[in-house]
Amino acid sequence: MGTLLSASAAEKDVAWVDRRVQQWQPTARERRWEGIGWAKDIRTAIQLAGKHQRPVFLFTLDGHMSVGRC
Amino acid sequence: MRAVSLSDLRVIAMLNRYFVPVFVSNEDYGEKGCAPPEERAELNRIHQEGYAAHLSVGTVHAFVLSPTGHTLDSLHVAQAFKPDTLLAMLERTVQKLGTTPGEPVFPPAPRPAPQTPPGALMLHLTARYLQRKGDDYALIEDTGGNWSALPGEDWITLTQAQWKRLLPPGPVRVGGTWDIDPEVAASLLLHFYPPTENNDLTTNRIDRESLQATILSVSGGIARARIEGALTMKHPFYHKDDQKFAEATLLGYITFDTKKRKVRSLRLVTEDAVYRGDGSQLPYGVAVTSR
Repeated sequence: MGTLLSASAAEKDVAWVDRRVQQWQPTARERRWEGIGWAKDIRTAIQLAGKHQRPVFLFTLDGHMSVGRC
Repeated sequence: MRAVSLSDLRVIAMLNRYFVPVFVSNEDYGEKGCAPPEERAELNRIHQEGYAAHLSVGTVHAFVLSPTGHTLDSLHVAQAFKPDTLLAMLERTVQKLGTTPGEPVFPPAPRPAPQTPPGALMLHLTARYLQRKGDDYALIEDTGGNWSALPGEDWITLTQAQWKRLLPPGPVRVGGTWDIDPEVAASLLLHFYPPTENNDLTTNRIDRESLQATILSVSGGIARARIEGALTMKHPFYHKDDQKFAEATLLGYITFDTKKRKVRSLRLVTEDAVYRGDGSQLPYGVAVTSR
Protein backbone atom coordinates (compact mmCIF):
# COMPACT_ATOMS: atom_id res chain seq x y z
CA MET A 1 0.00 0.00 0.00
CA GLY A 2 1.49 3.33 -0.99
CA THR A 3 1.78 6.39 1.16
CA LEU A 4 0.73 9.53 -0.63
CA LEU A 5 3.24 12.26 -0.97
CA SER A 6 2.53 15.41 0.96
CA ALA A 7 2.15 18.51 -1.19
CA SER A 8 1.38 22.15 -0.68
CA ALA A 9 -1.52 23.73 -2.55
CA ALA A 10 0.80 25.21 -5.17
CA GLU A 11 2.36 21.82 -5.85
CA LYS A 12 -0.95 20.13 -6.45
CA ASP A 13 -0.68 20.06 -10.18
CA VAL A 14 -2.15 17.69 -12.78
CA ALA A 15 0.38 15.02 -11.87
CA TRP A 16 -0.60 15.25 -8.19
CA VAL A 17 -4.28 14.76 -9.06
CA ASP A 18 -3.48 11.91 -11.45
CA ARG A 19 -1.39 10.24 -8.76
CA ARG A 20 -4.30 10.36 -6.32
CA VAL A 21 -6.66 8.95 -8.92
CA GLN A 22 -4.23 6.12 -9.54
CA GLN A 23 -3.47 5.37 -5.90
CA TRP A 24 -7.12 5.21 -4.88
CA GLN A 25 -8.15 2.71 -7.55
CA PRO A 26 -9.09 -0.79 -6.31
CA THR A 27 -6.00 -2.93 -5.81
CA ALA A 28 -5.53 -6.47 -7.13
CA ARG A 29 -6.21 -7.76 -3.60
CA GLU A 30 -9.46 -5.79 -3.51
CA ARG A 31 -10.50 -7.24 -6.87
CA ARG A 32 -9.90 -10.87 -5.94
CA TRP A 33 -13.63 -11.65 -5.79
CA GLU A 34 -13.74 -10.95 -9.53
CA GLY A 35 -11.68 -14.13 -9.90
CA ILE A 36 -14.90 -16.06 -9.24
CA GLY A 37 -16.84 -17.07 -12.35
CA TRP A 38 -20.26 -15.62 -11.51
CA ALA A 39 -23.39 -16.61 -13.43
CA LYS A 40 -25.61 -13.73 -14.50
CA ASP A 41 -28.76 -14.70 -12.58
CA ILE A 42 -30.39 -17.45 -10.53
CA ARG A 43 -32.16 -19.22 -13.39
CA THR A 44 -29.00 -19.35 -15.48
CA ALA A 45 -27.06 -20.70 -12.51
CA ILE A 46 -29.61 -23.46 -11.88
CA GLN A 47 -29.75 -24.37 -15.56
CA LEU A 48 -25.97 -24.71 -15.68
CA ALA A 49 -25.89 -26.54 -12.37
CA GLY A 50 -28.12 -29.22 -13.85
CA LYS A 51 -26.06 -29.42 -17.02
CA HIS A 52 -22.73 -29.72 -15.16
CA GLN A 53 -24.06 -31.61 -12.12
CA ARG A 54 -22.74 -28.97 -9.75
CA PRO A 55 -24.35 -27.27 -6.77
CA VAL A 56 -25.19 -23.57 -6.91
CA PHE A 57 -23.64 -21.06 -4.53
CA LEU A 58 -26.02 -18.11 -4.15
CA PHE A 59 -25.01 -14.92 -2.34
CA THR A 60 -27.81 -12.42 -1.70
CA LEU A 61 -26.78 -8.94 -0.60
CA ASP A 62 -27.86 -5.37 -0.04
CA GLY A 63 -26.30 -2.89 -2.45
CA HIS A 64 -24.47 -3.57 -5.67
CA MET A 65 -21.42 -5.75 -5.38
CA SER A 66 -20.24 -5.22 -8.93
CA VAL A 67 -19.43 -1.59 -8.16
CA GLY A 68 -18.56 -2.13 -4.54
CA ARG A 69 -21.42 -0.03 -3.24
CA CYS A 70 -22.60 -2.79 -0.93
CA MET B 1 -18.16 -11.04 2.51
CA ARG B 2 -16.64 -9.57 -0.60
CA ALA B 3 -13.74 -8.25 1.43
CA VAL B 4 -13.08 -11.40 3.45
CA SER B 5 -14.44 -14.82 2.53
CA LEU B 6 -15.00 -14.05 -1.16
CA SER B 7 -11.43 -12.74 -1.32
CA ASP B 8 -10.03 -15.91 0.26
CA LEU B 9 -8.11 -17.89 -2.35
CA ARG B 10 -9.31 -21.25 -0.95
CA VAL B 11 -12.96 -20.15 -1.21
CA ILE B 12 -12.43 -18.75 -4.71
CA ALA B 13 -10.83 -22.03 -5.88
CA MET B 14 -13.63 -24.11 -4.31
CA LEU B 15 -16.38 -22.03 -5.91
CA ASN B 16 -14.74 -22.11 -9.32
CA ARG B 17 -13.95 -25.84 -9.30
CA TYR B 18 -17.12 -27.28 -7.77
CA PHE B 19 -19.98 -24.74 -7.90
CA VAL B 20 -21.97 -22.47 -10.14
CA PRO B 21 -21.69 -19.19 -8.20
CA VAL B 22 -24.19 -16.38 -8.54
CA PHE B 23 -24.89 -13.21 -6.55
CA VAL B 24 -28.01 -11.07 -6.57
CA SER B 25 -28.83 -7.65 -5.17
CA ASN B 26 -31.87 -7.51 -2.90
CA GLU B 27 -32.73 -4.10 -4.36
CA ASP B 28 -33.05 -5.69 -7.81
CA TYR B 29 -35.12 -8.60 -6.47
CA GLY B 30 -37.44 -6.52 -4.29
CA GLU B 31 -40.95 -5.50 -5.30
CA LYS B 32 -39.70 -2.36 -7.05
CA GLY B 33 -36.55 -4.01 -8.40
CA CYS B 34 -35.55 -4.52 -12.00
CA ALA B 35 -35.24 -8.34 -11.85
CA PRO B 36 -37.84 -10.22 -13.94
CA PRO B 37 -40.77 -11.72 -12.01
CA GLU B 38 -39.49 -15.24 -12.78
CA GLU B 39 -36.19 -14.42 -11.04
CA ARG B 40 -37.96 -12.95 -8.02
CA ALA B 41 -40.14 -16.06 -7.84
CA GLU B 42 -37.04 -18.26 -7.84
CA LEU B 43 -35.49 -16.34 -4.94
CA ASN B 44 -38.76 -16.56 -3.04
CA ARG B 45 -38.91 -20.32 -3.66
CA ILE B 46 -35.34 -20.72 -2.38
CA HIS B 47 -36.28 -18.79 0.77
CA GLN B 48 -39.44 -20.86 1.31
CA GLU B 49 -37.52 -24.10 0.93
CA GLY B 50 -35.00 -22.78 3.44
CA TYR B 51 -37.74 -22.01 5.95
CA ALA B 52 -39.26 -25.47 5.42
CA ALA B 53 -35.88 -27.08 6.09
CA HIS B 54 -35.34 -24.90 9.21
CA LEU B 55 -32.30 -23.27 7.67
CA SER B 56 -31.16 -19.71 8.26
CA VAL B 57 -33.01 -17.45 5.80
CA GLY B 58 -32.66 -13.70 5.35
CA THR B 59 -31.68 -10.92 3.00
CA VAL B 60 -27.88 -11.05 3.28
CA HIS B 61 -27.12 -14.75 3.13
CA ALA B 62 -25.12 -17.46 1.42
CA PHE B 63 -27.22 -20.36 0.11
CA VAL B 64 -26.23 -23.67 -1.41
CA LEU B 65 -28.63 -25.25 -3.89
CA SER B 66 -28.61 -28.76 -5.32
CA PRO B 67 -27.86 -29.26 -9.05
CA THR B 68 -31.64 -29.26 -9.51
CA GLY B 69 -31.95 -25.92 -7.76
CA HIS B 70 -33.33 -26.93 -4.37
CA THR B 71 -32.14 -25.30 -1.17
CA LEU B 72 -29.64 -27.51 0.67
CA ASP B 73 -27.83 -25.28 3.14
CA SER B 74 -27.36 -21.66 4.16
CA LEU B 75 -25.36 -19.27 6.30
CA HIS B 76 -26.15 -15.83 7.64
CA VAL B 77 -23.59 -13.26 6.49
CA ALA B 78 -22.33 -12.95 10.06
CA GLN B 79 -21.07 -16.52 9.64
CA ALA B 80 -20.53 -16.66 5.90
CA PHE B 81 -18.02 -13.81 5.98
CA LYS B 82 -15.64 -16.10 7.90
CA PRO B 83 -13.61 -18.01 5.31
CA ASP B 84 -13.28 -21.21 7.36
CA THR B 85 -17.01 -21.32 8.13
CA LEU B 86 -18.00 -20.73 4.53
CA LEU B 87 -15.43 -23.24 3.32
CA ALA B 88 -16.84 -25.86 5.70
CA MET B 89 -20.34 -25.44 4.20
CA LEU B 90 -18.94 -25.70 0.66
CA GLU B 91 -16.85 -28.77 1.49
CA ARG B 92 -19.68 -30.71 3.15
CA THR B 93 -21.90 -29.95 0.13
CA VAL B 94 -19.32 -31.30 -2.31
CA GLN B 95 -18.76 -34.34 -0.15
CA LYS B 96 -22.47 -35.03 0.20
CA LEU B 97 -23.15 -34.68 -3.51
CA GLY B 98 -19.94 -36.32 -4.70
CA THR B 99 -19.30 -33.39 -7.04
CA THR B 100 -16.30 -33.78 -9.32
CA PRO B 101 -14.03 -30.77 -9.87
CA GLY B 102 -13.69 -28.99 -13.17
CA GLU B 103 -13.03 -25.68 -14.84
CA PRO B 104 -15.25 -22.70 -13.89
CA VAL B 105 -18.58 -22.90 -15.69
CA PHE B 106 -18.33 -19.14 -16.24
CA PRO B 107 -14.80 -17.91 -16.94
CA PRO B 108 -13.92 -15.35 -14.25
CA ALA B 109 -13.74 -11.86 -15.70
CA PRO B 110 -13.53 -8.30 -14.39
CA ARG B 111 -16.89 -6.59 -14.25
CA PRO B 112 -17.31 -4.70 -17.52
CA ALA B 113 -17.71 -0.95 -17.56
CA PRO B 114 -21.18 0.17 -18.64
CA GLN B 115 -21.59 1.33 -22.21
CA THR B 116 -21.42 5.05 -22.73
CA PRO B 117 -24.61 6.33 -24.36
CA PRO B 118 -24.00 8.29 -27.58
CA GLY B 119 -22.81 11.82 -26.86
CA ALA B 120 -22.53 11.21 -23.11
CA LEU B 121 -19.50 11.56 -20.84
CA MET B 122 -18.85 8.50 -18.66
CA LEU B 123 -17.12 9.10 -15.35
CA HIS B 124 -15.69 6.46 -13.03
CA LEU B 125 -15.64 7.16 -9.30
CA THR B 126 -13.74 5.43 -6.52
CA ALA B 127 -14.53 6.19 -2.88
CA ARG B 128 -12.60 4.73 0.04
CA TYR B 129 -11.75 5.32 3.66
CA LEU B 130 -8.20 6.48 4.30
CA GLN B 131 -5.90 6.86 7.24
CA ARG B 132 -3.89 9.90 8.16
CA LYS B 133 -0.15 9.53 7.70
CA GLY B 134 1.74 12.66 8.63
CA ASP B 135 0.02 15.51 6.88
CA ASP B 136 -1.39 13.33 4.11
CA TYR B 137 -3.38 10.11 3.60
CA ALA B 138 -2.67 6.47 2.92
CA LEU B 139 -4.77 3.43 2.12
CA ILE B 140 -6.01 1.51 5.13
CA GLU B 141 -4.40 -1.85 5.80
CA ASP B 142 -5.67 -4.72 7.94
CA THR B 143 -9.26 -3.58 8.17
CA GLY B 144 -10.67 -6.90 9.34
CA GLY B 145 -13.50 -6.83 6.83
CA ASN B 146 -15.42 -3.78 8.06
CA TRP B 147 -16.74 -0.96 5.90
CA SER B 148 -13.27 0.41 5.34
CA ALA B 149 -12.07 -2.86 3.83
CA LEU B 150 -12.94 -2.14 0.23
CA PRO B 151 -13.52 0.90 -1.95
CA GLY B 152 -16.87 1.69 -3.50
CA GLU B 153 -17.15 2.48 -7.18
CA ASP B 154 -19.76 4.28 -9.24
CA TRP B 155 -20.28 4.96 -12.89
CA ILE B 156 -21.75 8.39 -13.52
CA THR B 157 -23.18 9.34 -16.89
CA LEU B 158 -23.37 12.99 -17.84
CA THR B 159 -25.54 13.67 -20.86
CA GLN B 160 -24.32 16.03 -23.53
CA ALA B 161 -26.58 18.73 -22.13
CA GLN B 162 -25.00 18.20 -18.71
CA TRP B 163 -21.30 18.03 -19.63
CA LYS B 164 -21.61 21.11 -21.85
CA ARG B 165 -22.50 22.97 -18.67
CA LEU B 166 -19.12 22.03 -17.19
CA LEU B 167 -17.52 24.40 -19.70
CA PRO B 168 -17.15 28.19 -19.48
CA PRO B 169 -20.21 30.04 -20.72
CA GLY B 170 -18.12 32.91 -22.13
CA PRO B 171 -14.87 33.40 -24.06
CA VAL B 172 -11.97 31.06 -23.34
CA ARG B 173 -8.87 32.94 -22.17
CA VAL B 174 -6.08 32.21 -19.72
CA GLY B 175 -7.02 33.40 -16.25
CA GLY B 176 -10.74 33.31 -16.98
CA THR B 177 -12.85 31.80 -14.22
CA TRP B 178 -16.37 30.45 -13.96
CA ASP B 179 -18.60 28.64 -11.54
CA ILE B 180 -19.59 25.22 -12.79
CA ASP B 181 -23.34 24.92 -13.12
CA PRO B 182 -24.61 23.99 -9.62
CA GLU B 183 -27.08 21.45 -10.96
CA VAL B 184 -24.40 19.60 -12.92
CA ALA B 185 -21.97 19.89 -10.00
CA ALA B 186 -24.61 18.38 -7.73
CA SER B 187 -25.13 15.43 -10.06
CA LEU B 188 -21.45 14.64 -9.51
CA LEU B 189 -21.05 15.58 -5.88
CA LEU B 190 -24.04 13.53 -4.69
CA HIS B 191 -21.71 10.53 -5.17
CA PHE B 192 -18.90 11.99 -3.02
CA TYR B 193 -19.50 9.91 0.10
CA PRO B 194 -17.47 7.03 1.54
CA PRO B 195 -18.56 3.35 1.48
CA THR B 196 -21.69 2.96 3.63
CA GLU B 197 -24.70 0.68 3.72
CA ASN B 198 -26.88 3.42 2.28
CA ASN B 199 -26.49 4.08 -1.44
CA ASP B 200 -29.81 5.79 -2.03
CA LEU B 201 -28.80 9.16 -3.47
CA THR B 202 -32.23 10.60 -2.70
CA THR B 203 -31.35 10.49 1.00
CA ASN B 204 -28.32 12.76 0.43
CA ARG B 205 -28.77 16.46 1.09
CA ILE B 206 -26.20 18.93 -0.18
CA ASP B 207 -25.93 21.80 2.26
CA ARG B 208 -23.01 23.53 0.56
CA GLU B 209 -21.33 23.02 -2.78
CA SER B 210 -18.99 24.96 -4.99
CA LEU B 211 -16.92 24.12 -8.04
CA GLN B 212 -14.96 26.95 -9.59
CA ALA B 213 -12.71 26.59 -12.61
CA THR B 214 -9.80 28.75 -13.76
CA ILE B 215 -8.22 28.44 -17.19
CA LEU B 216 -4.48 27.79 -16.91
CA SER B 217 -3.54 27.37 -20.55
CA VAL B 218 -4.89 27.45 -24.08
CA SER B 219 -2.78 25.84 -26.75
CA GLY B 220 -3.57 24.25 -30.10
CA GLY B 221 -7.28 24.63 -29.51
CA ILE B 222 -7.10 22.77 -26.18
CA ALA B 223 -7.77 24.55 -22.90
CA ARG B 224 -6.82 23.27 -19.48
CA ALA B 225 -8.55 24.54 -16.35
CA ARG B 226 -8.01 23.90 -12.69
CA ILE B 227 -11.11 23.13 -10.60
CA GLU B 228 -11.38 23.90 -6.92
CA GLY B 229 -14.38 23.28 -4.75
CA ALA B 230 -16.00 22.33 -1.49
CA LEU B 231 -18.84 20.13 -0.34
CA THR B 232 -20.90 19.62 2.79
CA MET B 233 -23.48 16.87 2.34
CA LYS B 234 -25.68 14.99 4.75
CA HIS B 235 -25.37 11.28 4.03
CA PRO B 236 -27.02 8.76 6.40
CA PHE B 237 -24.88 5.68 6.94
CA TYR B 238 -27.80 3.25 7.11
CA HIS B 239 -31.24 3.32 5.52
CA LYS B 240 -32.53 5.57 8.28
CA ASP B 241 -31.93 9.18 9.10
CA ASP B 242 -28.90 10.16 11.18
CA GLN B 243 -26.61 13.16 11.59
CA LYS B 244 -23.69 12.03 9.43
CA PHE B 245 -22.08 14.47 7.04
CA ALA B 246 -19.52 14.22 4.26
CA GLU B 247 -17.28 17.28 4.18
CA ALA B 248 -14.67 17.75 1.51
CA THR B 249 -12.46 20.16 -0.34
CA LEU B 250 -11.95 19.28 -3.97
CA LEU B 251 -9.31 19.71 -6.62
CA GLY B 252 -9.24 18.70 -10.27
CA TYR B 253 -8.46 19.51 -13.86
CA ILE B 254 -10.54 19.62 -16.99
CA THR B 255 -9.31 19.83 -20.55
CA PHE B 256 -11.58 20.68 -23.43
CA ASP B 257 -11.58 21.46 -27.11
CA THR B 258 -12.18 25.18 -27.45
CA LYS B 259 -13.64 25.01 -30.96
CA LYS B 260 -15.85 21.94 -30.59
CA ARG B 261 -16.63 22.86 -26.98
CA LYS B 262 -16.08 19.25 -26.02
CA VAL B 263 -14.62 17.77 -22.82
CA ARG B 264 -11.44 15.77 -23.47
CA SER B 265 -10.67 14.76 -19.89
CA LEU B 266 -11.85 15.39 -16.37
CA ARG B 267 -10.15 14.48 -13.09
CA LEU B 268 -11.58 15.48 -9.74
CA VAL B 269 -10.39 14.28 -6.32
CA THR B 270 -10.95 15.16 -2.69
CA GLU B 271 -8.09 17.17 -1.27
CA ASP B 272 -9.26 16.64 2.31
CA ALA B 273 -12.45 14.83 3.25
CA VAL B 274 -14.02 13.53 6.45
CA TYR B 275 -17.21 11.65 7.18
CA ARG B 276 -18.32 13.01 10.54
CA GLY B 277 -21.09 12.36 13.03
CA ASP B 278 -21.71 10.74 16.41
CA GLY B 279 -18.42 12.15 17.64
CA SER B 280 -16.29 10.49 14.96
CA GLN B 281 -14.43 11.90 11.97
CA LEU B 282 -13.30 9.34 9.41
CA PRO B 283 -10.97 10.48 6.64
CA TYR B 284 -11.96 9.31 3.18
CA GLY B 285 -11.13 10.02 -0.42
CA VAL B 286 -13.02 10.17 -3.71
CA ALA B 287 -11.45 10.16 -7.17
CA VAL B 288 -13.37 10.76 -10.39
CA THR B 289 -11.93 10.31 -13.84
CA SER B 290 -13.43 10.43 -17.31
CA ARG B 291 -13.32 7.25 -19.39
